[in-house]
Amino acid sequence: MRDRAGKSLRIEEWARRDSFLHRRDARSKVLAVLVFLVAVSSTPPASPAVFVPIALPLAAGLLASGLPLGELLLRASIILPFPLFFGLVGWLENGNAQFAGALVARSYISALAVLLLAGVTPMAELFRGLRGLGLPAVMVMVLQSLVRYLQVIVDHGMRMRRAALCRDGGAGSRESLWRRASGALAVLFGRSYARAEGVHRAMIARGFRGDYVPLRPARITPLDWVFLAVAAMAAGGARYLAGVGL
Amino acid sequence: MKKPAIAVRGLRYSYPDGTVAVRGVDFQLEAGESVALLGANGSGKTTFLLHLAGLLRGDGEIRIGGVELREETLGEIRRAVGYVFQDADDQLFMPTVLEDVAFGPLHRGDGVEESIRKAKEILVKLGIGHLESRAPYHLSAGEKKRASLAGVLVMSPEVLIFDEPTTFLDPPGQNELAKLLNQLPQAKLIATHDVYFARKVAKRAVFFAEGRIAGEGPVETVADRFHWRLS
Repeated sequence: MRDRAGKSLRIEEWARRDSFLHRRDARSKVLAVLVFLVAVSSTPPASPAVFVPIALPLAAGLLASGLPLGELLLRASIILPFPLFFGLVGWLENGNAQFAGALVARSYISALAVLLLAGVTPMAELFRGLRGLGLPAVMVMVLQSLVRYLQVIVDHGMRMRRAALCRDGGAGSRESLWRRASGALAVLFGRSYARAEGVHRAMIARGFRGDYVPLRPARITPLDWVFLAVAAMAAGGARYLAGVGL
Repeated sequence: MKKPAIAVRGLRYSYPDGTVAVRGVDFQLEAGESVALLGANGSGKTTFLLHLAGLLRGDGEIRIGGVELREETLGEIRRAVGYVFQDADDQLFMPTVLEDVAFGPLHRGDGVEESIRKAKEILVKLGIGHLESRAPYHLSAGEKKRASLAGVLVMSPEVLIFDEPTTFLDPPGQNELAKLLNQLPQAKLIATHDVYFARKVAKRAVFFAEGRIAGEGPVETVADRFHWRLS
């Protein structure tokens, strides 16, 4: 129970560490990841092997971050069931195993890149960076609230699960477990709604009129531009190598 | 003569589902006075408090520092009233404590530098200056309460409203909060179930029952009259 809530906190703990990547401006990191994701998504699915050169700049980033590699690789694998499912469906329908393999590789590499970004950028910096990149203030505010209240909802969920376990000791059939889980989900939704109302009241009480004012605009340095240029060139070069089949 | 911090006449409110929560309340809080609001769960205390910050709109008249609460004066009223919510998680919605505390001044138009200065100053004053870069959900219950109080005090309100401020606080935390409240010069209205805490922070108490003020007077007298203590 504690572990699941602890997982998200672990990423925040990573984000507060120090490395060359941690010190870069959030905007340069977001843009670098975007360029990388474009390179990944535009790589033709000739075979999963074409993603090897694409993964090289990411591997460099992972090493430069100083984050625990094994844990990062493991965490990124959380998305694998989805591409595996859709890849399998595609394979069974069209007999195209390459497409399935490419889908899995693309998804995993993309997830790893996003996880790396989250692991080297504190959430507050990330939001500031997104705002600095021109994302509408209201959207940043929504994202911010989403992340903030995801924690609260997870916490609520954990407490409800604990209460349920205390009352039945985890016993019961799979069917009753599903019934209970769906009921709990409805309660959680109701509580989240009540929480959202509370937050809205608190915001209004403190002067919020619908326009979110950021506290500190992000500051970008020449080194951040160099980092962005190098990252973009690495992603572009890797994409070229993947395209020519190296 | 100084105008009352809060003056309420004939306040009535029903929720959209038809539940009548406040049934004609008259109330006055003098400048600098602290009053405890006692009463059972569902007696209308929170609904009443939400009206004072203009967060709910019922029938009747509400004046804060002599200013009548109307659509046009809503901004002025909300600047004058600092509302500390029961659950600090409702109140702490920014990524870091500093950003959260600076939210109010920033949205009032104080400017970035001034908002940061004020936020840092109040955090230090409340003894949580070292938490400024922490995420609010990493804090303990006592720290969250202090951070949410900082977010309200930074606005220098004329009136402070507390909804169950001792919720989730351990006895030392409650003592510290009582000490802190007693140092604040503002008029205070404190909804609580805890008579001991009420006695520490207020001289006068108002007892709510079924959406009405059923009685008022010294905290001890009201607690005795309504059997409002552990037996």
